[in-house]
Amino acid sequence: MTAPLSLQSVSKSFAGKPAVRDVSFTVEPGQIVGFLGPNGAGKTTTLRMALGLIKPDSGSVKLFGEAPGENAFGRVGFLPEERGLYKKQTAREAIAHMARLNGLKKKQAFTLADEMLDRYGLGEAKRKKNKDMSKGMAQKVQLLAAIAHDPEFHILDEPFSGLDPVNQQVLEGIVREIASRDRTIIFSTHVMEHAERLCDRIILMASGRKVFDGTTEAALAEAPRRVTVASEMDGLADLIEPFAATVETRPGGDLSLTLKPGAQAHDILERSVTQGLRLSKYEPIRPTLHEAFVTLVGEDVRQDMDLNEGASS
Amino acid sequence: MSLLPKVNLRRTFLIARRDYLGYVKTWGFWISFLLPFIFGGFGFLMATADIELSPTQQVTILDETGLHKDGLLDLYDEMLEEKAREIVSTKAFFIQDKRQRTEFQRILKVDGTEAAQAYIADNVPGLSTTYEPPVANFDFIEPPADTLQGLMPYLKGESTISIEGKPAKLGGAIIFKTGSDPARPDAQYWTANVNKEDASRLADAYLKQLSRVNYLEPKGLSVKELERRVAESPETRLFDPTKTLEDSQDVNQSDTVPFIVASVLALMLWLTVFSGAYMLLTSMLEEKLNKLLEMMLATTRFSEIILGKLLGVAALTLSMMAPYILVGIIGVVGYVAFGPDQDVVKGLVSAFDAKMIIFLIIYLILGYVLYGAFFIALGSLSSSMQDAQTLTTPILFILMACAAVIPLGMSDPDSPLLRIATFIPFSAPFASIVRLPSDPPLWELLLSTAFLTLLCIGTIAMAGRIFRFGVLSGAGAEVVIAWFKRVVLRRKA
Repeated sequence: MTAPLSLQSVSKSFAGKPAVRDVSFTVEPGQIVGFLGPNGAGKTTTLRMALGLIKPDSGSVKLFGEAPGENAFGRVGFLPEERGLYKKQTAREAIAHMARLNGLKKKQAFTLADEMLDRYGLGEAKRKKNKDMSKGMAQKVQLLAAIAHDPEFHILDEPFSGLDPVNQQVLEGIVREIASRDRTIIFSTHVMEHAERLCDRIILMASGRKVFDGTTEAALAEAPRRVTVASEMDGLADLIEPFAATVETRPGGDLSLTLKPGAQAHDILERSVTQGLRLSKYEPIRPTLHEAFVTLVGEDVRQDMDLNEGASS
Repeated sequence: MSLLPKVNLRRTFLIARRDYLGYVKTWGFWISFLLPFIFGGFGFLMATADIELSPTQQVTILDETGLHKDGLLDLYDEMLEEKAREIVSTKAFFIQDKRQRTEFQRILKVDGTEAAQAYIADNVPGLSTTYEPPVANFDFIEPPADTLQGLMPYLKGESTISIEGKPAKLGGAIIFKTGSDPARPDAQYWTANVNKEDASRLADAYLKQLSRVNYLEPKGLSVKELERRVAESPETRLFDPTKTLEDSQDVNQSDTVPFIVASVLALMLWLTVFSGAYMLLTSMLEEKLNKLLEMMLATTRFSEIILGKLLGVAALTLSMMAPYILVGIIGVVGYVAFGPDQDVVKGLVSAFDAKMIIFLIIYLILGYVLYGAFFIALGSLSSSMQDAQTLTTPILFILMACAAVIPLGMSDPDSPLLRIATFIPFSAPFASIVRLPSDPPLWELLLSTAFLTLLCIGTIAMAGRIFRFGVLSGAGAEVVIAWFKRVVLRRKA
């Protein structure tokens, strides 16, 4: 089966400033791929090149095995980063219009629009004009418009941004529902938790480059492993020393350590038993994708990301 | 490589349809669409309700010389008669028989309205109506006081006069005083309403006539007789040497009507292009601000969006112009079928010949596409209405300047300026249409069409590139300058 998307050594600059540098990856059929990175990492430019909206300066893009263009019309559902709807259209008209542009017949498009609005809790907004809808509702309507024709491949650019936590949950549900039909999805985000919950595979971007491409587990393995320990007996610091890369003393006396490469959390437990040092606290901390990302991209990007997250929170 | 971009007609139609319905569902569209009917209805209402927009003013004459009051009143009666004559003269338009029409006009000129009315009653009874004298702007009343001092409270509105038992304001007073020369009285007009000048103009006209009388009559010449002879003086007849002898070479309305029709059509063409192009600009801007284009571009070609917009707004513009076009068609067809003046009918038939209709359609399409493509490109580069106004100002100036060629078509259709304008694509649609009645060489029209077509293709191609760039870059006017510096001037950013 042809891969929905394949990029080979793709680069793009704007006014001499590189936005994407030598990026290659292939999205296989049926995958949910998280396309992660801070703002300005080159995610949107890459997705635009994937659709053929922008031509790369170098490298090649294949959408369903061919150069992006009319062969992919109707097979791709695209939700752009910048949101908007025709203000005077109703929700059902907006969904049906996009569905018809993607090849559905008029009656079929409106029936589908009504069904989708009912299914995703927007039944009462069917005949509401887009200008009268809340931002969250409008965003959901636009997503439904992008996926109404049930495309094989969904490209969603920052689908969660601007949504409240409740609507983010609803959107996660929609993504899972699409995936359950064996559709392929790539979505960009700079919020790692969504990717962690939804993706089979993640691609990390930073400063226009791909810094990681693999399964979520593989990415998490890159994250520093931490353990929090405490004991009412003396000698805890000496006990953990062979395994700890860094140690931080928490208020209350708990020690939070980052494990050295090759060291395992249960090594601390085994040694404490051997040495007869009773632990009052032993908590291996589950690594997060955010931590993995920070490890992978380095200090410069980390600061940039912190700034962006601070701005978006 | 194909010169024309590929388009999917279904998607193009869907985009055109959405643009069309998007505007049709607005209040603005329906107000514009119904405006001619609203104005027509309002006019009819005003006419039937007999509402006095400018009530008759009460004016008095205080003639301290005792020499001028009668003369002024006589002149006023004559002016009313002239006004009546102008109204009655419109009946000539409906007299089908050319000989009867000429005779009616002669009687009206020489013998006055009552004689002309009598002629109509005897010879064209179908046009006979009860004669209603025109409404006077003011009525002369006897002065309520013998002196200016005595008139002052009335003129200031402190006292009122009585007209048919009802109190009324005195609008003004014409006062004649003895001047240095008995032939040159000192005339004054006193009124609190200084903007209403009808009575003072009448007094001026009287003084001018008085000068003529004082000059001619001591020499034994009658002013009345002079005026009668001037009225009866023969008029120059116009002949056109290019007309065939069998057809009679004298110029009549059948020769002038095509030029009037061409100018009206050129004006309609200009209005259609102007309003269509401007709507495309706002439509493009709305599209950009809605930020939906990027989503559409995943499923639609750029060319389909541009063509869809051009078609949608074209349909919209024609819908908005439909009431005017319909009224025009009904008027022309109605006059051709039932119109009394055969010269006008002949002129109308020759004005709407096949050449005019074919070139009108060609220039309508090309003119709209040319300006429309410019406005689409500029709209896609704008990120606000201010941007759009700044960017479109030069092209609006060009469009305005092109409108200036239209009046030339009436006065001097073969002027070199109009000929040059035919070959400049921006003015070609309007210049060519106004020149058509003077039968310009076909090669000129074809060359002009070719230039226009080439520029249209170039403009669409350029608009497509700018559209693609402008939409995806979220660009504003400053990006155009940056692009110009980078690409044209080859300066590094």
